[in-house]
Amino acid sequence: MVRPFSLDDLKIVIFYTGKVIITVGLIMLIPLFVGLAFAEWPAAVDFLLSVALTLSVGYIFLIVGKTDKIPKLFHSMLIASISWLVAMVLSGVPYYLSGHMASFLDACFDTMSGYTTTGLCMIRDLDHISIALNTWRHLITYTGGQGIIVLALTFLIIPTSGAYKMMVGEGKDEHLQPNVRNTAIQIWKISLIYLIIGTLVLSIAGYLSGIKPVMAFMNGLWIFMSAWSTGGFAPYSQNILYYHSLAFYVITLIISILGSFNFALHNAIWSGNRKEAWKNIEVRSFVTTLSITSIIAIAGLAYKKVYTNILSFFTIVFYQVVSAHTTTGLSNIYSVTFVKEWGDVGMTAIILAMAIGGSAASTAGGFKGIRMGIVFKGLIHEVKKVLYPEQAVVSTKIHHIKDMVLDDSMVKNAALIMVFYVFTYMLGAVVDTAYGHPFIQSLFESVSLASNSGLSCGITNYTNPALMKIVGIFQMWAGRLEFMAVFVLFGSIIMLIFGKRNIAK
Amino acid sequence: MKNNKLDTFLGIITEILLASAITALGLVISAIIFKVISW
Repeated sequence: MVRPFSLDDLKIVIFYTGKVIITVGLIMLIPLFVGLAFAEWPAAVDFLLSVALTLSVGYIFLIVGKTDKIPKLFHSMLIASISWLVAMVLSGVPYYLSGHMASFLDACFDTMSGYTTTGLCMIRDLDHISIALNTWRHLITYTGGQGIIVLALTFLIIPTSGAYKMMVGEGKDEHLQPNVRNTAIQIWKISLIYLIIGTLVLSIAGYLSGIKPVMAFMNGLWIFMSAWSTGGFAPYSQNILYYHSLAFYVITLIISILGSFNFALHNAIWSGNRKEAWKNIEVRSFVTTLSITSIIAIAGLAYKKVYTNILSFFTIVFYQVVSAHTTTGLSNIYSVTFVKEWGDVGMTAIILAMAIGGSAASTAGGFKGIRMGIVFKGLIHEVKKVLYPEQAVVSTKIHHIKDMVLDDSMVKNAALIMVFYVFTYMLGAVVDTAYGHPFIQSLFESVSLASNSGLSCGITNYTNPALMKIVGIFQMWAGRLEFMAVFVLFGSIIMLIFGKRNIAK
Repeated sequence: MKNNKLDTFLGIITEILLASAITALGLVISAIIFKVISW
């Protein structure tokens, strides 16, 4: 059945998008206060103007779209996709006002990179930006990792079934609690408790390695936000290599792995179901594929004699593989090293790890472990059906929080989303290759963008043509929202342009 | 499922141990490959 796309539909989308914008404006107050606390007056003024603009736009959306109607699935998907685009533009204002960006498009690229927890950066002189702007970059990543709508749900949006669909549109398809607001609160509770623990540990490591106490705390906070959200931003251009600290490397490895776990897994383990830690299909899938990609990378680079000792294998090669597989993107080597030293075998292992990614309903990107597990088990199931006697009933189970019997629709849905990811990976690779970059490097950069990883072999740069940046923004956005919300937005636009004002219910 | 403070604490410890074990796996893989290439 179809129904017309009415003014009421538009009002619902505008009204709830306005609520998300208000949330973004309120978060922007934090870097404003940081700017004031560190007496960074120009940065504080930038953030004051940005907060005023963002809250004004948010209130205009609320007034224009004022409605008491509850969003349905179609509205929720549109709200999710549009909110992320509007948040990208408004969050880019303080970047642009800072004077560190070559263009406003670069500012948008950076904010989309932050919100989607990708971590690729377009700032020209990263080592000279203000503490307030650095806080904003990492705060964007931290918020995006948990979800902008998840944050809005905790205190601004009425918890309805439609609100839950907004979370689904944002790639968080898990009921942690019966109530959608409690689910959102639980996601933030888990993230905030780890924020306290992780910041404390990293601050101590920073202080012991010679950083002054206040900056040790700020660095600890920023790096935690980046690692937990599987983001990849760091306050300095050398990324995590800046710290030259084994403790930093090991702590960020552990935090990245924790951040790549499904929030439903965190919730189950925190609720006393500790066996889930080794029974869960996503944990098993992650350990298996991480081991395979690590062996390929370490063996390949050992064979080429790029690295020749255990510590280098672990702190350099394994670090990049975990960073890629959790889609974090923190790196302790220079981008050019991938091309000049790692070569095709090392880069292929990293591409595979990035493409697979972390867990569903986590802060990570990529195919996701549950889909890998389902498709693999689906394959085994089909082989069993052929090998077993015809009259035998073949049943395959998967375990994610509870035991589930694998059915064809689960395998089909998982495979379909993976196909969309592959298309998105190839899109960027084709565009970069068309601009003259070698295919393997183009694929590396493209997979990094669409899986929201953030590792770079040096292609992503503020000097790139606008088309490459726009395609990159699209890849990050579509990969983070896991396509459905993006398709609904495009479908709606096409329907409106071609005058068919009927949208499938 | 019911959440209580002890379960939360033990849950955090379990998760950190799990992430540490996965990290240690990298060290084991590194050591095995080092041994193999040394032969």
